[in-house]
Formats: sequence, structure tokens, C-alpha cells
Amino acid sequence: MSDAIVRLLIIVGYLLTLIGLGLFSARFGRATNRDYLLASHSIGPVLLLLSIFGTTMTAFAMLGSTGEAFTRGIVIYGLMASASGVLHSFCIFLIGVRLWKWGRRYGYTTQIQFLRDRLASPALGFVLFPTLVLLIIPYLLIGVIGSGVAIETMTAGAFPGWSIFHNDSPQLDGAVPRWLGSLAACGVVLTYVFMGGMRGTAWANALQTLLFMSLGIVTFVMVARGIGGGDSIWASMSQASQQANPDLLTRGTFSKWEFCSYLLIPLSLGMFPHLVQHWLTARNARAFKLPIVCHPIFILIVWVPCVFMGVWASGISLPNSVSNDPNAVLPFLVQQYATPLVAGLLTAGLLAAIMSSLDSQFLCLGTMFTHDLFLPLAGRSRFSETAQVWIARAFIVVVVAVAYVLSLQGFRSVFVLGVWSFTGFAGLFPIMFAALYWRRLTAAGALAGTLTMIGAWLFLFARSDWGNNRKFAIEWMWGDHVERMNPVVITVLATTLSMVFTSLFTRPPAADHVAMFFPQSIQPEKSVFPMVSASQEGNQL
Amino acid sequence: MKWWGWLVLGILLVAHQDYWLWNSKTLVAGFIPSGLAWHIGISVVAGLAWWAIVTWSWPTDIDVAEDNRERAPAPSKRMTKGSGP
Repeated sequence: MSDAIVRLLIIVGYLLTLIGLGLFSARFGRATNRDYLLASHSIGPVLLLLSIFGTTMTAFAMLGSTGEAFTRGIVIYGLMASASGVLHSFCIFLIGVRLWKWGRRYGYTTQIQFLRDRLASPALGFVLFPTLVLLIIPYLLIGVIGSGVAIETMTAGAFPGWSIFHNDSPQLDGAVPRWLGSLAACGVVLTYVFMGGMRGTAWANALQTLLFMSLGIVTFVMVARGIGGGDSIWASMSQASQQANPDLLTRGTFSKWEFCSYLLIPLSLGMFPHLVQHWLTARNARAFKLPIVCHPIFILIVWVPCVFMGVWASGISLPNSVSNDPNAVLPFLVQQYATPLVAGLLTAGLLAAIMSSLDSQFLCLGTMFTHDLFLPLAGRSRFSETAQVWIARAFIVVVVAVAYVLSLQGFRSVFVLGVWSFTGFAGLFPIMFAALYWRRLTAAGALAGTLTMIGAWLFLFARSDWGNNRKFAIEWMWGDHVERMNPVVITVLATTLSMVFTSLFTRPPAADHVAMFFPQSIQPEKSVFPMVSASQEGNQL
Repeated sequence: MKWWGWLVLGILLVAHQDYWLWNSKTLVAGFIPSGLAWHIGISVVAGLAWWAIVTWSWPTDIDVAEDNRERAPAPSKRMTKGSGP
């Protein structure tokens, strides 16, 4: 049996295990919407930590970080990982815990339901739904593309001479093609999400998080030994760092302004719909403490090995098909330096990281469509709970089909796509933050902020040739050289300004309505503008 | 969050802009580029900072909310007819 077949069999075995897990968790479920969508608020601290972290880490963290470290160097850790360590926990603490409180009190399953209620505006829900779907599609693409790349690279040579598995690149000839790998991953995730709902998703995420974290460390040791070739692991790591391209060991050419502007990217976590749904599954508020504390350390455990491997890969000779495709660097290293058995397990770990995000994204899309768009329009009483679950599943299939077709269009970098998705979600962060902490926020303000964000994001994304221009940034002259800034600064600033000014120029929200979310507030804030009377309450759009 | 929590987060975000290590080629422990070592340190300190914040700066009103386990009707259900789904 060839090495490639061994790797393929392990991958297939892992995918079947996930389907089995979905079947198993379905036996513990209750036939209610609340159980399917929120696991009946039964998730404790450990499962919450693993499911939140598994959902946050995707192909972006494994394939993307290794590929970007290979092309840009160590700067990538500071850009995304250490900043996320501080600010993701900030989002969980300030947004997640408070949102859980209102979700538990009023029975919300999505952030749209919260915002619609908080601002007494059904219209806001209808605008937010397509916005969130639009932003999550690039994020879905990361997983769909990443799974195809991982399976293709790891099964190279499995079926030599088969015309269906022919690849123009000699290194990938006989591999399961990308389109088939992506299709298989989507099919497996759809199956266990459909069977197990949120409970199945949380369990699968926990298993997959443990798998990709432990196997990531094993990969790191094997690759270090393979590239460095020293007598000990320390000697190998030292040797590998000294062989690497020295430019990648510093941040010499990277713009300091751009580095600073990336600090806004991790705020996107506060608006990820799939994360919000996980937050709402918590058994109690105390369950959030463990995820808040461990999140920075878990990010470190996943990202540091990936960054090292990417940088070290610059010191070895790579085939053109790999050096021209940053997404393929990690699968190549795994294939090159691990035994077939371990390589198969490591690919399973890689797929675990990818699929633990895809499942939550699929589930939240179905939830939002059913509860935030379809049922409010079609009438909740017309559909049984079973019918509602099937409506959610139908919508998930449609969105996954769209994402799958888009994934076949040949996007280059999962990292770049991820950053664009995060840029949009971060742009919506001010609205969520204001809804939780600013009584004076009005529905018109939130609506204006959302529309401004969509406009700015679409404009900038189009200017970047829909992510194909990997170097796109806001540029200006600073002395004698050009400075750069990530577009997230524009989306966050534009949304904030639009939201604040529109809120201040429109009628304040009704005091009794605001009091439902701010129990301490007895007196409504008065408008700072004399032409708007505080007595003119109502604010419904 | 108490004032010192905001202060600690502010210090971490300022420390994140480690421009003084921008061009350093020193390898800490023989294999970790100094810029990367600094940011690994930030991740570790962030974990400690969040431990301190959730231990001594946990919002008190959240625990009060937990005591009230009865779910209230959502505000949209209390709105006047036609104001929400």
C-alpha cells in the first residue's frame, strides 16, 4: 500500500468518525428548536472554551499563518496572534458575557434578535441579515478552499495514472482534486451539523480542537527535526532558524502604521454570528471565565509553531507549485517530514481546524435565516418546530453551494480572504458595543452605521480586485515615503461616526424600552440637540 | 471592568507596538527571533492579565442576572401591534 493511500485512508476514517459523532450526539438531543440551536444552554466552561476556540481557529490560523509567515515573516504573529490574544478575550468579556445575559433573559438565539429588540427596529434585522451573510461568505471560502488544498496535497500520488486524478503539476498528480476534497469536507460537516445541531457541533469542535492543538505540536517537532537536522530538537530549531531567509526574522520592510492598524481586526470577534451562537449556549456566566483566560495561551500554542514552520520553509528548496501557493506550504511540510501514518493524522488535525469553524458557520447561517428573516416574514405560527429546522437546513445547503462554487474560481490566499471578512465584521463592532453600553444609541444610528459599513467595505473590497490584490492597503505620503494602513481603519471609523452622529440627531429611544436593557437607567438621556425633544419618544423605524 | 483592568489592557496594546525590535536580528535562546519572542511574551502576559480581571473585576450584575432564571418575554413581544415580528 502506498504512503498516499495510507494518508487517504486515515483522512477518510477521520471524516467517518465525525459523522459518527454527529449520530451519537443526536441521541442526547431533545426535539426542540432550543436544543438544536443552543444545546439547551447546557455547555460548561471546558466545552465552551474548546468550542469557542475551535470555532475561532480555522484554515486562516493553520494554512494561512504558515503561508503568510513563509512570504512575510514573523510580523504575522504580531499582526494577528498576539493582538487577538488581548482583544478576543476583551470581546468575550465585554460583548459575550453581556450578550449571554440578555440572551438568557429574553431567549435570543442570534445577535440580530438582540439588536432588533434592543433598538425596537424590525427593519434593522432585515438589513443586518444580508450584511452578515455577505461578510461570512469569504470566511466560509477560507474553510472550503483550505480543506480542498489540504486533501489534495496530502493525497498526491494516491491514484497515479487515473485520468480523473490527473494534475498538471507533477507533484500533485494522482491526488484527490481540490474540488472533490472541498466537496467531501462540506458534505461531512453538513451531515453532522444536520444530525447533531449545536450539541453535535460543540462536541465535534471540542474533539477537533484537542486534535489540531496536539497534532500541531507533533508536526512542529517533526518539521523542526526534518528541516534543521540537528541531534536534538533544540539544535534542529536553532539550525532551522539560521538557515531561514534572514529578512523573515525581522519586520524591516513592514509599515509600522499598517502594523498598528491591524489592532482593529480582532474586534471582528464581537460580531461573528457563529461565535455569538456559541456564547449563548453557556450554562452560566461563570462558564466564560475559562475561555477568557485561556484564549491568549491557546492562540500562542497554535500560532507559534505555524509561524516557525512558515519561516523555516524559506530555508529549504520547495517545488514551484508550493512556493507560488502559500496555502500549500504547511501540507507540503507535513507530507515531506512526517511518516505516512502521522502525516494522515496531521492532515486530520488540519481538517479538524478547518471543519470546526465551518460547522458553526453553517449552523448559524441556518439559524439566522429561519429566525431573523423567514419566520418574521412568513409567520412563525404557520410552521412546526420540525419544519423550522428543515427550513434552516435548506438555506444552509444553498449558501454552502454558493460558497463551494465561489471556491472553484481560483482565489489565491486564505489569509487575504480572512482579513477582508474580519475587516467587515470589525466594522460592525461599534454597533454591538454601543447597543450594549450606550443608552443613547438609536435604531436610525445603528442602521446608518450598518449601511455605511457595507458601502465602505464593498468599495474597498472591489478596489482590491475582490481580494486578488494581496498587497492592497490605504496608502498616503509620509515625508519622503509611502505609508500604509489596513482598510479596517476606514470601516471602523466610518461606522462609528455615522452611528454616533445619526443617533445624536434622531429622537432618543423610549425610556421604558431602554430600561429593559439598562435597569439602572431611570431617566432617559436628553438629546444634545435642541431641535430634537427628549419627550418625543418612540424611535421605532 | 475596573479602572486597573483598562490600564493593564492599555499597557499591553502599547507594548504591542514594539518598534524598538523592528530590525533586530537577535535570536533568543538560539532560535526565536527577538520580535517574535516579545510577542510571545505579550500573549503570556495577556493570559495572566485576563486571569486577574475575571478574578477581581468580574461584573456583579451578571451574577445577579443568573439568580433570576425565569425567562422574561422578549421586548419585541411586549411592543405594540405591528412594531415587531
